[in-house]
Amino acid sequence: MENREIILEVKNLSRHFKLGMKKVVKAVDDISFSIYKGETFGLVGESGSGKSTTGRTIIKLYKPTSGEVYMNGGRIDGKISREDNAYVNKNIQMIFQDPMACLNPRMKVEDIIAEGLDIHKMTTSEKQRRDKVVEMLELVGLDEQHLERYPHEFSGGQRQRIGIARAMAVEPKLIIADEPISALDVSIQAQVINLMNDLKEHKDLTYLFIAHDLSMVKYISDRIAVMYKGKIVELATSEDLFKNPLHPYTKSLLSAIPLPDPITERKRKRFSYDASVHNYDVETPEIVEIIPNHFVYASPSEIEKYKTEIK
Amino acid sequence: MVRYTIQRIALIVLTLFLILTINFFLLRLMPGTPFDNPKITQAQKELMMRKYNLNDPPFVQYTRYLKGVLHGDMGVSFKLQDQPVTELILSKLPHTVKIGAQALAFGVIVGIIFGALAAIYRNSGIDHAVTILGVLGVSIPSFVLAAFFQYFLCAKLGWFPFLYSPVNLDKGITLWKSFYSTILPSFSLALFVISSTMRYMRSELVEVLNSDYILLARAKGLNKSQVIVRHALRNAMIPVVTIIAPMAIGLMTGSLIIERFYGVPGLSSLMVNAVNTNDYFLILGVNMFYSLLFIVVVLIVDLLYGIIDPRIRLKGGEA
Amino acid sequence: MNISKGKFVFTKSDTAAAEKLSAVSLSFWQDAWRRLKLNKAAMFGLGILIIILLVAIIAPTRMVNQKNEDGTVYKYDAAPIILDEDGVEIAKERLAFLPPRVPGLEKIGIFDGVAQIEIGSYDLVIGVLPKTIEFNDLRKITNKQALIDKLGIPYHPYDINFKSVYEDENDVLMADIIIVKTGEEVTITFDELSSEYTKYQQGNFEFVKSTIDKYGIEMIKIKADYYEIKNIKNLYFWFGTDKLALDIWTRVWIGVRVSLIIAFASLIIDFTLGIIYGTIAGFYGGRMLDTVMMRFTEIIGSIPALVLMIIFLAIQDPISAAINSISPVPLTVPVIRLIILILAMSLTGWIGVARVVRAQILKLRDLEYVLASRTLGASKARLMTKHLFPNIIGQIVVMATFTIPGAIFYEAFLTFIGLGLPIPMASLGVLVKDGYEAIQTIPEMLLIPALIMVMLMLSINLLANGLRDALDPRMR
Repeated sequence: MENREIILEVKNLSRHFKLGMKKVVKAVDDISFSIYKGETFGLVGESGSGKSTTGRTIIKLYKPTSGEVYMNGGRIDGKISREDNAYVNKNIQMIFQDPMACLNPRMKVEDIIAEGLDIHKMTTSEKQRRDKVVEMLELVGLDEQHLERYPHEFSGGQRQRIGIARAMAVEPKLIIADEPISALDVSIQAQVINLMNDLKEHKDLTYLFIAHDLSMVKYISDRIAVMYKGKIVELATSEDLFKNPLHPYTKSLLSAIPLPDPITERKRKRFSYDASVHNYDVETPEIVEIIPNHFVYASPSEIEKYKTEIK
Repeated sequence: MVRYTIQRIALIVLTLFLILTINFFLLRLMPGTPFDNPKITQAQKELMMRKYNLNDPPFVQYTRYLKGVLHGDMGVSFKLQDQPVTELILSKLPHTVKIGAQALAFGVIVGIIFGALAAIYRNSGIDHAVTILGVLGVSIPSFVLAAFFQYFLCAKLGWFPFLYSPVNLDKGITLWKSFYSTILPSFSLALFVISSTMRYMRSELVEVLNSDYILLARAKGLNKSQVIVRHALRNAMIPVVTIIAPMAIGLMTGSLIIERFYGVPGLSSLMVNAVNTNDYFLILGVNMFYSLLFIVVVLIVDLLYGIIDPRIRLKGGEA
Repeated sequence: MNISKGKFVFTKSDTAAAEKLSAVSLSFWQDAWRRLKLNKAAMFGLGILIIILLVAIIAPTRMVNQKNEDGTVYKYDAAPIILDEDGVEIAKERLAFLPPRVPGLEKIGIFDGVAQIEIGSYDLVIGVLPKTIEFNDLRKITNKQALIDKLGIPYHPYDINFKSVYEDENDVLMADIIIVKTGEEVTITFDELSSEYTKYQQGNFEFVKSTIDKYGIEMIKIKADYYEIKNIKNLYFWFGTDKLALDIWTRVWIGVRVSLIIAFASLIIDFTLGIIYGTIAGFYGGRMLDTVMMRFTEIIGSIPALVLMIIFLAIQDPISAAINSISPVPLTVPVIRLIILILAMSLTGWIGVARVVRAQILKLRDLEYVLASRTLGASKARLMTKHLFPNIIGQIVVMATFTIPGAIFYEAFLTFIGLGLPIPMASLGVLVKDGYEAIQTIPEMLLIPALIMVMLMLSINLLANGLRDALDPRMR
């Protein structure tokens, strides 16, 4: 496990927003993690936890307030050379949440998908461009007849797939999926997720999968990080997280997952997370590896407590 | 709320000051002097220039004027026998304001009523009539309307007097008679106010009536008129208030023409004559007053908006 | 609860069929045009607009290139030179102030060159006396008797009141008059009653009514056939002529052209400026620049447009001099006035455009497809041209169409109060102004240009309404 290649590394990343004169919102507050090549790394949290901001900062839509981001060992955050920027544009791509807003209503599907090709001059002739676009369309389960159409003629699931085709066209290595299925019907969700899994296998991709639906995240992710108010509070493999949740927030999240089984639903008890159970005025918390590959954000006394809970 | 008001007033003062300065210095660019009448000899011209201190450097004149304004003295009119500009303006102002205010008030009220009716009874006869009137109202310029009225209602039918007459009990012009003579001028101005308000009100109310909280109110059991009066109207009227300010400008331009047609002794005649005769202080003064009128309307609208829209009232300024 | 997989069976697996699209694909503008066509009012407006434009293009050119009868080319801003049967040029005074006259329509009584006017009985009976010393004396009220002796007429107009003037069985023009002093009623032929100097004779006028005004002066309403009176019965001026004997038909259509040119020119200036300003504030500028730019527009915008325009127009002489100096070609006065008017009208319009453009850009900037393009590495220019502009342009077109009628009105308004174009230039404003001055005698001089102006504004407004609905994304 430990000798796997790290494709993305985030160190002490922070992104603060200033509101007015005094208030500062710490959307992302000093987080660090690494993503291994070929894995699906899940990032979960409630609205406002900072997960989307993290994704967007990594892909350089926002500038980090502090911290560093490395890809394949090279620094990609902040001001970098033009070649490096082009490298980032081609190798990290994003899939967005809202299928209605992710495509330019005035552009034809062919042009939407080909945009990356055009910017990076990856094709040399009309025909080559078109062929590549058709290839992408077929990759996501659509076909040539859709080339000349406009976004409003498609359903939500189809639009999302066009968005995926657009991202795939530049042959990225890492795809950040920012809640890609939250706005879709459940059956379509399954379609898209399966598509993503297929692509991962055939195209040698790595995913950073941002979501708030824990059960879906468990299905698709290898490892999961839980975020709360800008901080990563727990990070472990999906199995381990569900079997041994340590941080109280994680526990409350898991307690809220509904199951389509009336018997367990009867017995399920939800409990909410109360941040005041921590007493961080006295001790400073840190991310600590409690058991191999299972990290928790805790103060020293809490670490002791958690160690006793491990089964 | 208080902070909001103070902010607005500060902005107004700044703007007025700016207008005054711009006006003043631009006017100095005007060619010739007020005394380019060939009948006046060079010596007389010199005398006049000195009398009005027009030979002093511009900045001196400017500060002198500024000081005067703060005391309510806006200089004197060259062409009108040295009458103080302030007096001239104040004597004509009431007429302009009277007709303008009537037009605005009448127009807005009628516009709101008809716009609301059109929205409530959508696609009915009233709605279509309102739509047609709405388009006509903004397509027919006020002078066409005025000419039309004068031709048919005054000349042919004799129902209304041609000209406006101010109250003058010596000549037998009672309050009622004077008011009657303001009907046509006000209405000529009011038509476009009615049209604009109507269209805006209709579209706003239609959108409100289609919104979810109205549906909720009905689901809760309120009948249609209760819903409309208690919920819909208030919310639809708020944005309508915002268009009053641009309409005020339209009223100002319209009044320049209407006053001519109906012989109203208001600011417009002052203005036109002053511009054509290079009467500096008069032009300056009338311009300032027009700006002031407009700014007062904007201030009232803003304050009104602040009172009506609870979002502003409670949050103290920004919606 | 565990449900075994064996209990589920696939019903259909043909997902390919689900992806098929059947309707025809329409581009943005094609779709908008389709929806516009369904809007009857807008199509009506478009139709009227096209008719007006066609006439405006064709009608004046016919006249303008027409040669005057003495060989010079007829220009719309000069009176036509027409020769009578003897080959002599007709004096301008005869051609001035003619009511409209259209062949064909005159048979039904409209546009027949007849105007209803009110004249004093003196003018009707005696007319305009020659300006000699002798007649000057005879004009005096003490010399009434001497005057009527000189002219050979039985009664002085101040001594009689008219009851009516009509044609009898023999088609002779008779007058029923009342002698004021005695109250006696007399019937006499009009020919005998009137002097040789009056222009009103049998056949060129019709008596309507006689009233005594508050000063005791008798005012007679008559319908006068101007073409007959001025002895130019062979001529037709479709919309009549004005005080300088200029043909109004030609001027009206040239006026439409000029007004539209002014409207478009100020539109282009305002929108170019507004778009550039709004784009910089919303897209290229940072928070600081944006705030500064918007404050600036707020302050300028709070000065009423009227005030700025008036000041601008009041100082037009130094501005004309400036324009002249930077122009590569020497400009004539009318062209300079035109330019100044266009500039004045463009002074504040750009602010509204800038605000809307900026607001739209701010809204679109955060949409996901723009973000997606950024992640693909799109340059700012590409974002602007491919993603932002195409989605703003619909709104801009609607805004532009709505400002045209306003501009037409503004031009008329400024000219009306004396600050716009001067005579003999032709624009709708100039025509309305002239028409207003003649409203008592020939109301058509005002009504015709006013009507055309209203139709123009109305048609454009209807079209703009339709465009707005057709381009509204919510209705798609």
